[in-house]
Amino acid sequence: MPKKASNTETAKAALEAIQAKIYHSRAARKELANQLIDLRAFRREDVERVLGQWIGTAKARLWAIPNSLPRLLVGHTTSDAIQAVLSEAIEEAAAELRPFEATAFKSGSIDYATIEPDESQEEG
Amino acid sequence: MSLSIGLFTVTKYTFYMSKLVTRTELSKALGISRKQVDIHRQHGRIQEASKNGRNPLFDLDVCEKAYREYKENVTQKRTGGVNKLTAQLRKAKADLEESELKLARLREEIVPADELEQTWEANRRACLERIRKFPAEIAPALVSGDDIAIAADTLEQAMRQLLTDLAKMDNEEDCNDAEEGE
Repeated sequence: MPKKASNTETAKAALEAIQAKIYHSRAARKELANQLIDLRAFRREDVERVLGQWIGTAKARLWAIPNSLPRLLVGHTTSDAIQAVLSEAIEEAAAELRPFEATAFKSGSIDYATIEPDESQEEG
Repeated sequence: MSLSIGLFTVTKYTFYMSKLVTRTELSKALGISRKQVDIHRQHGRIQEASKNGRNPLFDLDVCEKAYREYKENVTQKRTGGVNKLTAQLRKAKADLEESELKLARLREEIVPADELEQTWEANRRACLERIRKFPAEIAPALVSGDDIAIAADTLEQAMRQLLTDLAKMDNEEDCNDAEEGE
C-alpha cells in the first residue's frame, strides 16, 4: 500500500510547483524585455507618441497650405501649373508620414520589463 | 552497572525497555556537541537515567523526545508560531501573482515590430494615396483665379475635407483592428 504523503511533503511539492511557475513567468518577462531591447517589439506608449508626432506634424503642414499657398496659386492659367505648386507642398507634408523605422520607436526605459535584482537573487 | 541496547532496566520505581546511551552517543544521536549535552542537562532539559560508574547514561528515546520538544518550543517562540514552510508557500504564491501581473502588463503594453510595421505601412500607403489626389482634385477650381481670399477659402474647404477623409480612414482602420481582435 503506497505511503500517504504527509502535509509537509504536500506543502513542499506545492512550493516547488509554484516556484517552477515563477521561473516560467520570469523567463517570459525576460524574453519580452529582450524583444524590447533588440527592437523586435515596442512599448505601445512609445509607438503612440512617435506616430502621434509624425501625424501631428503632417497635419500641421497640410493645414498651413490654405494660408501659405494662395499667393503662389493665383494667376496661374493651367491646372497643371497649380497642381505642380500644390504637389510640392503636399509632398512636404507627406514626407512627415515616415516609412517604418524600428529605431524611431525605441523605448527610453524598460524599467518594469527587466527582472529586478532582488528577484534574481532569490532565484539564485 | 553497564546496560546496553534492548536490555530490561530495573529502576527503583518502574520496569521499562529502553536504550541507554552514553553522553557521547547521545550527542551524536541528537547532532549536537557533548558540551551542549551538558548544558541541556544542567538546565534540566535532558536528564540522566542511570550511571555507569561516574559516567551518566541517558535514555535515548526520552532524551530525543525532550530535545525535540525543546527545539519545537524554541522555533515556536522565534517564529511566533508561524510554520516556515507555510510562510514560504504563502510568499511563493504572492511572488507568482506579482510576476504574472507584471507579465500581463508587459504583454498588454508591447507591440510586436512586424505587426507594427505591417499596420503602419498599410495605413501610411492609404493616407499618401489620398493626400496625393488632393492637387488634382482642387486645381480645376483654382484655375485663373485672381482673388487670394477666394483661393484661400477654396483651399481651406478642400483641406478640411481631406483631413476629414484621413480621420475616417484612421477610424476605419481602428474598427478593422477591433473586429480582427474579436
